[in-house]
Amino acid sequence: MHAKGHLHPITQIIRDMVRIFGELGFSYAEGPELESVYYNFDALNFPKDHPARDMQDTFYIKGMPDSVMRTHTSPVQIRHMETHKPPIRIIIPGKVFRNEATDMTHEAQFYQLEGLMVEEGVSLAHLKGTLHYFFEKFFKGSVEVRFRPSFFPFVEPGVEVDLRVNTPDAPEKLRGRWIEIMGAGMVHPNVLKAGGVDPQKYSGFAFGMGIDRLAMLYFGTDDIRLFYNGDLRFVNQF
Amino acid sequence: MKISYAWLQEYFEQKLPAPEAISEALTFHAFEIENVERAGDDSVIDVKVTPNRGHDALSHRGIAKEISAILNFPLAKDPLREKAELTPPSKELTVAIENPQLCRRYSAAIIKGVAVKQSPVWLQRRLEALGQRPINNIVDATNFVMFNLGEPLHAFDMAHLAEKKGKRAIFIRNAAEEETIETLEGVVRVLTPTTLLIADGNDSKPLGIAGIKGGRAAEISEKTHNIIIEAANFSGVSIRKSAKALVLRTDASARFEHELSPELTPHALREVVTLILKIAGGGLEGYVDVYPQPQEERRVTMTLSHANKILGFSLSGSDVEDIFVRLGFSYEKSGEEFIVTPPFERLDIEIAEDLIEEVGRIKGYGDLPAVIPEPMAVAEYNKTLYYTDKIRETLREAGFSEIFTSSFREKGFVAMLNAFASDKSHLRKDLKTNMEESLARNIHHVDLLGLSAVRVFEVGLVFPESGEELSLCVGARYHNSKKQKGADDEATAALAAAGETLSVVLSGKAQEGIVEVNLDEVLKKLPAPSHYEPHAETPKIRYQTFSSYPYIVRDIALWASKGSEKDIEAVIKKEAGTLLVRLGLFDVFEKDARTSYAYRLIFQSYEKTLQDSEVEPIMERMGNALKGKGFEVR
Repeated sequence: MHAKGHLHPITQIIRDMVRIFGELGFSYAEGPELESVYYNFDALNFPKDHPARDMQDTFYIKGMPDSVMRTHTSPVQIRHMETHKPPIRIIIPGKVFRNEATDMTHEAQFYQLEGLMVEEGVSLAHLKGTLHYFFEKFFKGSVEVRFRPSFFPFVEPGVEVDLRVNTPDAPEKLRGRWIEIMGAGMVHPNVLKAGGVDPQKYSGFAFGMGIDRLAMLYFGTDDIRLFYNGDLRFVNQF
Repeated sequence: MKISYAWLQEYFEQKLPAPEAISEALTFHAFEIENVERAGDDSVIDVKVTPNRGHDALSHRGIAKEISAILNFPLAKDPLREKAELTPPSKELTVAIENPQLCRRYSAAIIKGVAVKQSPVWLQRRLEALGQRPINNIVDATNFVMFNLGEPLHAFDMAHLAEKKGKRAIFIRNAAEEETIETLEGVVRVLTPTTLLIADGNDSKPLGIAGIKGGRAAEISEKTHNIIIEAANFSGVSIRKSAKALVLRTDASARFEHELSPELTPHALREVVTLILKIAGGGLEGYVDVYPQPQEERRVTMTLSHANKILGFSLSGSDVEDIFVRLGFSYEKSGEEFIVTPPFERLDIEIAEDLIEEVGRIKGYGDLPAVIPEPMAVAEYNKTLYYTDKIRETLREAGFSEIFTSSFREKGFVAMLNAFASDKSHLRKDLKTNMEESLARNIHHVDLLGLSAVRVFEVGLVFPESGEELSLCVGARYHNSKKQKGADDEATAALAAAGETLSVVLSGKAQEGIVEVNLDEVLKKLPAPSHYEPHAETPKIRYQTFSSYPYIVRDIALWASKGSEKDIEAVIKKEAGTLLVRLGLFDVFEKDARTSYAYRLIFQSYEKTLQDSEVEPIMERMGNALKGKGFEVR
């Protein structure tokens, strides 16, 4: 019998994410890759014809003006809120698409992990606690998380999250340095409303992280394109 | 936006901390900093102003106000809080607006008898620090005020406007179909009716593309004596669309795109008039101001408990008041409720959450506590995840590795409108096309990988004519093409085994060692799971980059006593050195109380293609070393 095969590193990372967030009661949710403009932008509070939509390079579809290749997995937040009542805790790992030039750190497709928690009395402190819990378990050791103010149309307040991994066996690029790891914030009341959730009663946090980037930091790979070229010289190392 | 530290300092009486400290203050309370560079005596801080603050922070005054709030340094002067009356009214210019939805305000000043020449050195330096080229004192003054207050301005040579009964006229109108204008850089542009034009109200001649770029017709030159300066307000959406259509984005259009407050125009106009009189001489004739629908004052209410609830802090009423005072927000306090009137330039303050963000960011998130949410059971277990996971495990056990490939191909049923690259113009209609490429590529590396064949699978979404579908594709390929039927059998057997784990039938016709099935129908019929299977944690692997240069294969076989593997391998590795990327034992058998060991060696360089002539000497040395240890090389 031949040796066992290998699972793709991103599959392995997603498994870890599902497991760790599962410990905090987060469920896995999914949605379509070919998404509607409504769920991808409008319901997420991106104003029409405003520079905020430039923040993402979008693939538009020929003959389908109301559709796009989803640029983030955030649309699933709306889809899920429409069909579920709070308390809601979900993570949405999935493939997303950006229409930009390809190089070592940019691909037209990559994987993103979105997270959403909507309940009564949710605050930025819960966001910090949740993210710290995840990274501590993921890196199996001492980590720090900090917030800086930022802007995304679907959250208010919006933050950038920086991570510092202090474990002795952390990869060189990572150890002891602050790195920008994701965008996050408190779900904008317009987004809660679009999902049919009453913003007077409930509040929520949301975050979005690049899984490829986390994998590259964790495993020390240097080229994002390696995740998608089907080469066993890459996959069989994991 | 590039911000000059010296320019910023002029807003304060107290000495500002070093540029790096300013940078840090902005980073943790307002905006990310791209970089800080020294520029002669000055430093330039490149601030990444977020799209929601383009209306007030793309200016030195805007950033000074941020620094003032964050560091709690009062501004020595705030031009936007000073009175700006546009008097006396002009007797020589009239202005009319065709569509007040597209042009919300048009303010203008007339200065007569200016001397157009080079700007004073201090002004040139200020502009150069921002990477701007000084042109002449009039144009430079308008640019200075734009970078100072964030309101774009434009100057026209009054002599080039048609005179009628002693008056000049400006008409802000839409362009006619195919109307043309020669802009300042000498390019003739063809316009469409959606483009807003600044036109001569007396002879209809285009004078400039509103909010984007001025025309050559009324350009400022050394011969100019009388000027009209425009400070206006245009619909951001309209400017954005026009700039995009014309492929012409300027510092002016970038600001209008963010939607500016029409209340800015008088402040900018008065500042530029004062500056021009100082550096170009002349005298103010008067102002025109057409402002059909003044911006209404907004009132936004926020409660202290809501703010603390959202932020996760326990701030007091006076903590919040302090922050509003620093930001220059006037407010009324009633119990724990704050009714805030934001200053006119803060168009982003619309709802309570906007105020809550102001409170949070000025306070800073440095000591935000980390609170783990109350325990809760997972509400749902996902079918797709559960069953595809089982499939993955079964295939892995059978020796298959998982690949991810591109969702894009050059052909398919769904086409992209604006693909960056031609090989990303369509969505894949199946997985097998990519699988074929993966098998063909990997077959060349079986030796390097120590595999007897290539065995791979992919689970992913495809886009056939019927729409988005979940597909599973399994592929196998042997080096020896005569054994292809074996590969077909392996792929279908693996697929069947995966199906067995799910207690369903998964089958398909294999071709070239590849078989693919749709999983949606199968998943529909399966029951919802009640838990996920436990998995080992992902090991901490440190990835090794692999070389793309061709490798060389050498086999070596020898007789030895039983259990000699470790010794043999130690000798081989020592003699082979770093060029040996793989050592695999591929055959062992016993005969007459001796054991035969056969190894496959893979040599590869990270820098170049290895030649046989480089490997032969290594093999010779190795043979001798093994003989020396008493092994008989065959």
